[in-house]
This record gives sequence, structure tokens and C-alpha cells, in this order.
Amino acid sequence: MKEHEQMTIERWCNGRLLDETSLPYSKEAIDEAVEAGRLIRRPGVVKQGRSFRCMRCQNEDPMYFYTHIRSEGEEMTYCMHCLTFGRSSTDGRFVHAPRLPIERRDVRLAWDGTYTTLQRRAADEWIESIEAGRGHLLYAVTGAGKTEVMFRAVEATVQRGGRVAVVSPRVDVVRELLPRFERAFPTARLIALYGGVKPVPFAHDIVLATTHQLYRFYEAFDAVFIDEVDAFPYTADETLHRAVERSLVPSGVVHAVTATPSRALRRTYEKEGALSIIPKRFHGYPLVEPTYDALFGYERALRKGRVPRKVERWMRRCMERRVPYLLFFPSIDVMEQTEALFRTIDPRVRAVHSEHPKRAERVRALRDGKLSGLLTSTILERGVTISSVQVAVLGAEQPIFTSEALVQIGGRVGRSADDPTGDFRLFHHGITRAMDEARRAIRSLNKRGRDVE
Amino acid sequence: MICYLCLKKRETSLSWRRLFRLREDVLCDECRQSLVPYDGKLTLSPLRDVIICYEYDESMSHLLYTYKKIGHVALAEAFISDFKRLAPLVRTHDIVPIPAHSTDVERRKFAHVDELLRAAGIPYRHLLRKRHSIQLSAMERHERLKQRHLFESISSERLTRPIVLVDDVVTTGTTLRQAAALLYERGAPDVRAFVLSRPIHNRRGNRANGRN
Repeated sequence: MKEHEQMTIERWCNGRLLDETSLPYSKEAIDEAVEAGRLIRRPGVVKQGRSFRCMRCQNEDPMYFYTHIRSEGEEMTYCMHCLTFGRSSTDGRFVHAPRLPIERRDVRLAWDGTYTTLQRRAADEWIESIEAGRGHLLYAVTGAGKTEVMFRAVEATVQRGGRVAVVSPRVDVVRELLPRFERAFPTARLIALYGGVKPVPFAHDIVLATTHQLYRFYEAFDAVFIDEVDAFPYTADETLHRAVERSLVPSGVVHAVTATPSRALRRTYEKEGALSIIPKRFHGYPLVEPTYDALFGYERALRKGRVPRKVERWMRRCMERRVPYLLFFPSIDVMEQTEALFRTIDPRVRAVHSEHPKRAERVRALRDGKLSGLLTSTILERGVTISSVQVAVLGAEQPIFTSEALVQIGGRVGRSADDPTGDFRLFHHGITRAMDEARRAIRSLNKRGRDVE
Repeated sequence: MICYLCLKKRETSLSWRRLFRLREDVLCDECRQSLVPYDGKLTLSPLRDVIICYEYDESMSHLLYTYKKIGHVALAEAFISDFKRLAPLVRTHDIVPIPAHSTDVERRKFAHVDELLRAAGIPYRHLLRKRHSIQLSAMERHERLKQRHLFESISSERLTRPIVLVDDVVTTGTTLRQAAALLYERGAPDVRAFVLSRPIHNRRGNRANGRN
């Protein structure tokens, strides 16, 4: 690595917290830098009261620590929570160097698309927040063009000499954003980080990453943009919240983007005057409202090896009209067990879920028309855009279908201007509060959209 | 509680095992079921026989990678019941782990085969030392068969008890055969092997045969 031979260790680290053994520098070079105070060294895991604390992921839950007693009696404790990043242990060492000052560069947005009035207004409000040094929440419905609005906020931050991270819960989103950001910011130094990517010296203006990658950063960013802030795993993992916190400089801010913010989240940002709402989709058409379709006893029917007639009729209608469809299942097990059954109705339907190896391939096949439909878990509730897709949820009363999940699922329908409508059907064994909340949220956004402009 | 392999949280519901304080599986049901018991026999002269517990398939490969390369020593507890099968032999036999190279132990901070035995409470003796830090796993079959003098004896004392060699993976059997040859030279009356896994399908996806 010719680059690093000329680069000091502290410049290579530049605001990151890294495993000592992963650095392309000799132990002597690292020791020297630590002695000279240019690098700070910490153990991976430290004892804390009766439990431990991991310096990398900041986990303190004793359930995730394992203590190994070596034959000589010495103990070594390591953290299982961030094991996918390598072993963080009482023996292991991490080093970190404070971030170096960023040279002011002219990084302008080169994106020349048009903005709707609503997008422009949201962008202006966002920039106001940035100038006031506070974080902002963009509450934009599915298909509102939130990424393009985010471009303006990212530009404003970088132009003011700030370093930005845009994080997302899923790798496919990060991979999908990279070319869009490259086209939008041709003069910026961009990098995409996710599991398996090789470590490189850190000298970038904009980092696109999965949230977990923030474990490696220490007071490195002026702003972290969290895409889909209400999605898993961010909502369920305390260490990710801590990682965001620690990756920011003391004056740093957190911006959030989502189509389904919780009431608490809205209130937090609304209080500061840091909330923008875009209730209309980019093409101006309203969100598609759900249709409730009672399907009592569907579980029994499936167990007996029958596809409920209403579902079969729905599938056949989509097949006749030659439009793609998504059928959401509450559990992967049920879906896998009944896939064969559904294929007797439609030989060109396949199942996908988060761990399915062919997931990306099958989504592409559906988009290209090679498959006529997909049976899916909630993994496809976000991010997927397929023209003219029809969507149904089987078992909408199941607890996994929270109102946010249902709104997101409904957001798959009607995303393109030439086909802004579609069927969004909830097959249920009883109406739940989540279903009503979802429908209410969609109606209220549509009303707001009608009243605005 | 979390599963030591997938690291996901597990139901801590009351189970009969917990109630009677029997050891709970450190793997969740899904991960446990992903391990395939070895089906087949392996004849490897000059050893008397070789017992193999699991198939070395993708699941096992991932597990051993996490165990050895990342250093997830907790996984040694996943095979306690397998290695406890050696308990009846301890009184009459010497249990001998195939050694890892000393710098490898230094780097990962533990000897992977030794830990499997320790977790199961099986006492062992080191009789061999690895001579080079070569990775047989990185070699193709023909290269492995060419390897000579992988080991040397730790002492020259004459061996009087039968031996059970222990290792985590057996592929061509080169490692075990060389180790056995050295031990026979030192007078061992009998050498058998107990190995955690073996590939049934070789790298090209064909079924590997039972004898080499």
C-alpha cells in the first residue's frame, strides 16, 4: 500500500476507533505513536462494576460477554455483540486518533432535477436548522423524493466545512445510494462502508454506511443522517444509538428521515421547530389507501393445504392483468411451508425473505417481468420500487404488522407517475388498532396533501 | 441468553433442562440443526480407526472460521457432549491433540483443539509439536499429500499406552497419518483418532471417497 507508507498512522485513523491488529502498520510504529501521544490506545473490553463494557460497540449487557479462563488461570473476556467486526477483548487493543481538521473544499450539488414546491420548502427549512446548528426530521411519505431533499442538506453541511455520514439499516440501501450520491456530488470524496469492505485511510467528506459501521468512528462527523430511523435494527439496538452519539463531534447533530415517525420522535423535533413534512408523493398523486378484506380462518385453510379462495382470486386477477404482485406473510415459516401450494396457482411466483440467497435476483426478476409475483416477509416493506405492483397482506392482524409496517408496505403501491394507483389489500382475521392507525395516518397525510399548495 | 453461533437472543422460557440444572445447549435450535452428523466411515492406515462427529459443510466451515480465525472460544462449549464420548477411554488411553503452531496460538490466544477437550473436561497430553506454520487447509489435495515431516516429537520417551489423536477437521488424512507414524515409532501400541468434522463433498463439489 504505497499510500500508507507516506501517511502517518494518525492521518490514517483520522477520527476512527480501530482494532490495533487491523492497521497496516508495524507494532513498533504503533507503539511509537502511542508513546508520542499521537494515538490513544484502549483495551477492547473493560471491567465495569460487576459487569463489563465493550469499547467498540459500548455494550454493557452481561449476556453478551464471554469470559474464557486460560489454563494458567488468567481470564480473558470478550464481547459477542460486535463479534462480526472481529474480537473485542480485555486483551485486545483499539487505537484512535482525533480527527484532523478538514480542508474547506467547494463541494456543490450537481443534481439538476426539478424539485416540487414541497420538496423545496422542506429543503429550505432543513438548511435553516443546519444554520442554527440543530438536527432536523424530514417526515416524507413513501415516494416523496426524500433523497433529493437530503442532497440539499448534505450540501449545506459540507459547504460549511462539515463531514457527513448517511446511515441506513440495510446494505442494499447503502449500495443503491452510492451511485446516486456520486452523480449528485462529483467533486466530493465519497465512500460506502458495509460488512466485508476493506479498511482504508479515512479522508472523505461523505460516508454512506450501514449503521453498524459507526462502531469504528469516534468524534468524526459533524452530522449523521439516519435514513429510515424507525426501522430495525436501529430501533432495537441500544448500542447503535450510542454509536451514532459517539461518532459525532460534541457540536454534531443528528438528522432523521422517515415516512413513519413515531409520535415521540415527531414531538422531539417539532418542539425545536426542526420538522418538515412532505405529505405528497413526487408525482403529486395521493397515497393508496388500504382495503380491508375479511379472511377468517385463513390459518386453518393453509394448514389444511388450501389457499383461501379470496387470495387465489386476487392472485389470478393480477396474473390476468399482467401486473406484478407482492403478497406479504407474517412469518417466514408459513411462507416457506406453503410456497409450493401457491405455485400450483401461479407457477411464476417465488418466495423471498431477509436470509434468502436469491432475494435481490428475484426482486429484479419481478421488476423485469420474468416472475409474476413474490411471496415475501416484511423485508420488502421498504425501499422496493416496482411499477404497477399490487400488494396484499395475508394476516394483517398479526402483531408483526405494526401501523408503521403497514404504511411502509402500502408505500410500495403507486410509486410511478404512469400508474399512481393500485390495490393495497389487507386480508385479515379481525381488524386491529394498528390497521386503523395506518389507514388513519394515510388518510390524514392525503388530506394534508390536498390542503397544501 | 444468546446463541453462541448466530448471536441472537433466545427465549429464556423455563425448560426442563433448566429446572434440573442440566447443561443447556449454547446453540439455538436452528443453529444446532444446521450441523450435520457425519454419515460414513473413514479408514486411514496406519491408524486403527477414525471417529468423525460432523460433516464439514458450509455451516461447520462458518462455525470453525468464527471459532479459530475470529477467536470465538465460547464455541468450544457447543461440542461438549461430542467430546465427552472420550471419557471412558481416559483411564486407559492418552488423549493427544493435534497441535497448532506456537505462533498461531500466540496470535489467537488459544489452542483450538485443546479448548474443545478442556470444555468437555477431558484431560490430554501434548506429545507432538508442529514444525512449520503451514496451513494445510490452504492447499489442494495433491499438495497436501506431498507434505512431509509436519511434526516432531516433544520428547523421546517410549510410549506405552494406546493413543487417541484429536483434531477439528480431517480432509486427506495426511496430518493424522504423519502424527500416527511418529507415535508408532515411539512405541505406541495403538493409535486411533477422534475428529470433529470431515468434508463429504470436496472443493469441486464431488463426493469425496471413504479411503485415501
